[in-house]
Amino acid sequence: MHVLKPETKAIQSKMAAYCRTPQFNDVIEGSKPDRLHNYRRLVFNIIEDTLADAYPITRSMMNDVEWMDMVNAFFSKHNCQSTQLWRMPFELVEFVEEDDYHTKIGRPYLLELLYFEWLEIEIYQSPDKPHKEFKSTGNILNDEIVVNPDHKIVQLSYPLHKENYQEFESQKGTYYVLSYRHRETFSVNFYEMSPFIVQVFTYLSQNQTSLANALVTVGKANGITDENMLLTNGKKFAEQLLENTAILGFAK
Amino acid sequence: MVNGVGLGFRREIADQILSLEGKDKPRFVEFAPENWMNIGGYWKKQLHKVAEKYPITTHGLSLSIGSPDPLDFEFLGHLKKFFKEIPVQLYSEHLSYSKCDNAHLYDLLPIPFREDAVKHIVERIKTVQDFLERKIALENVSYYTPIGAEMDEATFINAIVRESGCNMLLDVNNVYVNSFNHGYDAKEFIKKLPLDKVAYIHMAGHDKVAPDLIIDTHGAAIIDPVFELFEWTIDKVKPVPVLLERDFNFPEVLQEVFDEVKKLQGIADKQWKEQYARVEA
Repeated sequence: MHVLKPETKAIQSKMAAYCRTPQFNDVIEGSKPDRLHNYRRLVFNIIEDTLADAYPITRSMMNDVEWMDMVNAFFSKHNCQSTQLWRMPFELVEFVEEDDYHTKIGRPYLLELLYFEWLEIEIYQSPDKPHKEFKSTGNILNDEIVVNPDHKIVQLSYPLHKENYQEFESQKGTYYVLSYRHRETFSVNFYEMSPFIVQVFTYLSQNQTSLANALVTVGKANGITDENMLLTNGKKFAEQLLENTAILGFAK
Repeated sequence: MVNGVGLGFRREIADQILSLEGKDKPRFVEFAPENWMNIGGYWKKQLHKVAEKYPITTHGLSLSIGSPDPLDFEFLGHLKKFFKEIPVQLYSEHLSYSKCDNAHLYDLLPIPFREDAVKHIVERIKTVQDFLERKIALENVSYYTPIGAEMDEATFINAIVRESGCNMLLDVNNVYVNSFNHGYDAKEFIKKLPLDKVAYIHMAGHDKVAPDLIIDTHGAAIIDPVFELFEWTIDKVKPVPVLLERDFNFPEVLQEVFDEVKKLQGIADKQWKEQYARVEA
């Protein structure tokens, strides 16, 4: 049943449009014009503060005008859908991609940088994913490996996982980065991987299997027949990941 | 049922709240479900710790009960699931709207005080209460300008609370802020509210940003006139939980905030002592 009159709805729509759009200056019936601007300021501050907190690197790389232009464009053109404010910043990534905003402003890395910064929030705060019961000791090569499920592997065009943000534009290439939530500290860690190790890690996370089997299977698929070399190098990488909790342990 | 004076559980002060013991503990804590549902990792762990240590009330942000947009049943489903996971004793929300034309604004916009808005919101409250299988308490919000009003605020609130059967969250600071900003008498306003339906009270600090304007920030200590209004108000309502909202700008010595909780508890104890005894008996 629609009991709300169109004129009431129109007033509410105008109020929302006024808050979202700096250029919107239609008269809002029954409002105090000298007070309205407080709503525009308060609403925009929430959006801007939340985005600045979510994207500190992006914020530091843009001047104030560029940043405010982007936030304004996002908030006025994009209909935010998230009911949880902490998830809203991901919608900036979607907006930049859909609007091709990064190309328009001549910052081709912007989309990837925003996504990379978002990834840290997402991995840190997303619901815990289920995993098989595990024990912390076992045979690293032959026992079934339990991978930390709270992870994502991303392919990047810039080395955003390295700390020297000022120079990454000149280091365009292909980088594979594992991002995961540390089991004990809950911090989000980044770990650069070779394409081969990415395949092994993915195989381990998708199959209930041992490291040795994953290495040999992925090795065969890549035409690598030197099993000794595979097992020796693979064992080193797995031990590091076990120590850093990207691998949780061994299936019970 | 939860009673006494509680404190907002914010991440900035979560560790301190979790470490409080004995008389220093607030009687309960409140948080926004939107900030704590569907999460994992560190904060999920802290959520479970606080739920083990304190009774919980929640104060929602995204229901947007006054919105012209349809109710978001996916969101309501998440809320309902969250309330099964965490023992939430009371769910409150704002009598405002924060979503319009399919876009969230993440702040509390004033609803036109109109008869059709009353009917619209009453229907929505009934739907929400049926869906969640619990009563909600709606808060009188602070507002800096009315929009399209055809009735006064007290009449609007009364009609919604009476017709929907929901409870009222009486935010005493918001009454003070609105009475200052719109030039009316706070006590006369409170007298007109459905005081028998008050199930929860909020107290907070605010910022005076201009000679004729106060912004409801929750970022400062409560001022004496608001304490006085609180003392005057609670004499007129049954014992209900009272919350100190402090969202940011925490003092270096957090004890100042805990002392505010104790001060509120002292006032509540004085006014409600006999009524508490009757409720507990």
